[in-house]
Amino acid sequence: MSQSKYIGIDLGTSNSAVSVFDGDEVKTLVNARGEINTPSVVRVKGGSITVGAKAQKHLHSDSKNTFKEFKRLMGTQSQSEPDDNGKRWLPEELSSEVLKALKAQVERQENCQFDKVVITVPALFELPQSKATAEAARMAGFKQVELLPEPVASGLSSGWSEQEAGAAWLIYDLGGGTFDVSLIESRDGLLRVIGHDGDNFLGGRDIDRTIVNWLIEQLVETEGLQLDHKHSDYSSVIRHFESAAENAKIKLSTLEHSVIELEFEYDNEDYEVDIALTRDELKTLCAPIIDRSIQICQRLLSAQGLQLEQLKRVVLVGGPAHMPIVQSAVQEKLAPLAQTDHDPMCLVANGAALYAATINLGCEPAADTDKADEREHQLWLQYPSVCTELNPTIMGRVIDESIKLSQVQICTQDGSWQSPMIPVDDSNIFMLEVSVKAGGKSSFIINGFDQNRQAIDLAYQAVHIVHGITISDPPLSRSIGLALADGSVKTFIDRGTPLPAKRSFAQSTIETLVPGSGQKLQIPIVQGERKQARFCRKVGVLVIDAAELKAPLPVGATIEITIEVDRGGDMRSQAFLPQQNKIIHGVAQLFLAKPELSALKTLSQNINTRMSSQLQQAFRSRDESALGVLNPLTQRLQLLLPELLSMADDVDGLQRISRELMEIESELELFESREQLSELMEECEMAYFGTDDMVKEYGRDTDKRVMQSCAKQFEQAMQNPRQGDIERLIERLNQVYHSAYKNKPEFWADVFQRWASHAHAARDPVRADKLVRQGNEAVARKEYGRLQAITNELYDLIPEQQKSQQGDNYDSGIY
Amino acid sequence: MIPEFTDNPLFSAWPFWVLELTPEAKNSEIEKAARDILAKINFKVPGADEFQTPIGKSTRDDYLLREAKSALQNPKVRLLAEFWFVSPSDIQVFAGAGQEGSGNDNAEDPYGVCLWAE
Ligand SMILES: Nc1ncnc2c1ncn2[C@@H]1O[C@H](COP(=O)(O)OP(=O)(O)OP(=O)(O)O)[C@@H](O)[C@H]1O
Ligand SMILES: [Mg+2]
Repeated sequence: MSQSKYIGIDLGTSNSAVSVFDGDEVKTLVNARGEINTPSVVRVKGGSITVGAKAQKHLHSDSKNTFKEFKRLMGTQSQSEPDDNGKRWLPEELSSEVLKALKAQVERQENCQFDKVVITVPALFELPQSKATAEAARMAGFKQVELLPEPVASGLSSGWSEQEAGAAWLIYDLGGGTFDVSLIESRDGLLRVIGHDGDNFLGGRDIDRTIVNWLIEQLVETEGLQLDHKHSDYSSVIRHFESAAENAKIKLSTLEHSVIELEFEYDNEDYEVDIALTRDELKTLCAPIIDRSIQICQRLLSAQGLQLEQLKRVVLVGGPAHMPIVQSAVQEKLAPLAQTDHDPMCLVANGAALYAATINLGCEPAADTDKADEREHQLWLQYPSVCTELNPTIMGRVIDESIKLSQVQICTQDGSWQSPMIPVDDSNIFMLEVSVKAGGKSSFIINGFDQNRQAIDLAYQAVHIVHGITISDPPLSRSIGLALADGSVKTFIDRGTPLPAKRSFAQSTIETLVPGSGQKLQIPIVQGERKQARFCRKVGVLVIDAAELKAPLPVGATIEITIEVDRGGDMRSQAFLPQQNKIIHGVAQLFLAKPELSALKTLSQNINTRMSSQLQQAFRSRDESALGVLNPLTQRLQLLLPELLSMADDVDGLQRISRELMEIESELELFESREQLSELMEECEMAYFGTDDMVKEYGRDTDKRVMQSCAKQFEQAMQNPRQGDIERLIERLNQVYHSAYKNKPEFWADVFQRWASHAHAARDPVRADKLVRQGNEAVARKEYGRLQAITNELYDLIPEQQKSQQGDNYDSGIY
Repeated sequence: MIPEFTDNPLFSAWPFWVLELTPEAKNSEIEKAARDILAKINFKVPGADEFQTPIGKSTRDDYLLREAKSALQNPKVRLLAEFWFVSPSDIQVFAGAGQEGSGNDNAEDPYGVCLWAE
């Protein structure tokens, strides 16, 4: 019986690769040129399209028809400049060409039709970007697509064969255009991403650009040439410089010296210039980029409350991982490198293929399909293709009504084991737990019998179960919510929720909508962790068009809004108007809004003004710690301002600057609200020490365990205070406090006193009075067991109404 | 969809109820439970889409199963679920929280008490 094959594709900014897993082994395919990586470059020539190294050769000679790095624009509506046929390409169309080429390659080599695939995306991809990726896959002819964060894929493939349980390790993936870092742990067969971080705009390309800038400086010095790299006249010269820089950079991964040979035209004159670049010089040039990546790793570790010593190792992924500078920086500042035989360029695609198996996304090879399999399947089988337990269940149901199955027997394919007869129940269902080989693949066959124990020839899919590690369902990387009228965000689906996910909440309208008025009620959908909508990214909008209404929708009318997100980045939203029994489906637009240059300039000025006034204050009061926060922020802003002024209409650059500005503003805002924060921190401190005492004295084991985790969070919160975190911690501390408090002997005295004060309202005042007296005696004698019984009886005598009033107060206090 | 009650710590144990597990469950048991229940729901096995909670039966679907599994696979959330764990058959505890009162016979439990102590 045939074995399903699973494919995974690493759709990279610069390079893409495809891997296959057959249940035993995972391998990255080698293309016709003997390489595992296919450059993500597409060239259009007349009516035909070429992809990969062949296309890459024409980047300079035929730049108009050759496209690269479109992944960075995924999810935006930005089209390419028209090619010779006048066609303007969308990034997902170009990506689909790369996918088509890989699909054709793997189908040829594996002799199998693949219409299901796992494609990796950067962990920080937002919904529109994921959606565009899924769309590209569908355009390429895949019917079913699952997306997987790149670092999870690397984690899965580097962890698949490792048995180092419980250790935390970092996946450091510096690609062509994006940097992703993830903290990963594997325990009890589950690979868990503890956290990730990264920068969508940091990668090998930034190193190339740095080298180009350096080259331009060299040319000023040596040749007196003024090449303005923003000027479109020089764009092809700059392209040439970039690829020369990239070649030199790659050479310097293995060699100490290299020579950059430049051949270009300037002011109608031809130039041929050789510029030497050493590994040491390169190290100096790209130090800021590598430092930024290390800082992001450190930020991730501290956000997860991990000390550097707790980090066991780092897995390097991506092209720049070959650079000795990167390797030494990581080793020096983070942890030892993982000793793996994996090529850093294969990890992602391999992980994607392995993941395809864990979610049962396989395809059956065409050639070795045996005869029995050509018939329609008569059984619907459910079993895991990869599982962490040694006793998975195989469940089956007869779907072909014509066969009268009464019993089945499940056997291993090699005949080494067979189950007893299992009955098929009235609903035509049978199930059985089987045992599987630890760390390997087990295959089963199913024999069917009728009432008279006569064998029935059954057609069903092959059953192969691999025992291995699994990963948790891909979580939503950034929270999704609605922007409300007051500028705040109502979170619908929290970051970390497993996908697909769905949530509904009731909201109210703030204006009246009159049918036929042409009014439109906008409900913006945003993604991000901030409470203020303007710091989040708008990813869609739900529009309630007055024209569609049957009756006016008054102010304050209830709208039930549901948001649903699937793994492909597809988000659906709907609004239900209960009063009108009407459903409106939403999310017309789902793309990354292109930041406007003028808006960014205004924003930067605004930030600059606010920053200056904070700086002045800090200077006046000689507030060292304030300066410590403001100075680096100011520096970051100062770097952006000139860039913003000289910025042309470059979508990619605008995105990067917009992101950086948002980060700066959000930190500035945090600084501005620090007084409020310091009050909250004080409250938290009090709650913490109060609870700690209570737990030390009266807490049970679980109280203590929870307290330990609170202690960690407390430490983090004090180092890196964030309002939301602190509020949650205070809440948690209150819970633990109460849990421990009730073990305190005097606890019952407190509770008794509380209800005694309501005795006047009791249903049986005489009895209540007596109980109060007895209770007071018990308190005096410290007879808490007795007091407890008395309190309970007293409590029963107090009317519900009285109690529920108490409940209201309680609400505010405890949760 | 996660039931509304998940905001209330008293109900922190909900993932255990959904998957019909106890705090001893290992990861492999969690995964198996989620998968097996889902398979039964897919086969429309009677009762597979329901689970017991201390305040009565509730329904489960693939979203809820996934959320329950993921909650128990997240050590922080799991710790809370273990911390507040009560068996779904333990109705006593919650009676105190309800309107009917009289549930505080079980005075040992921390939860009922929390509801009426400051
Ligand atoms: N041996 C090498 N030494 C240094 N840099 C290299 C080497 N090989 C490739 N690179 C650089 O690595 C980058 C491409 O890396 P990679 O293929 O991992 O990126 P990608 O996966 O396409 O990008 P992303 O993951 O951001 O989508 C390019 O900038 C390339 O110049
Ligand atoms: Mg990559």
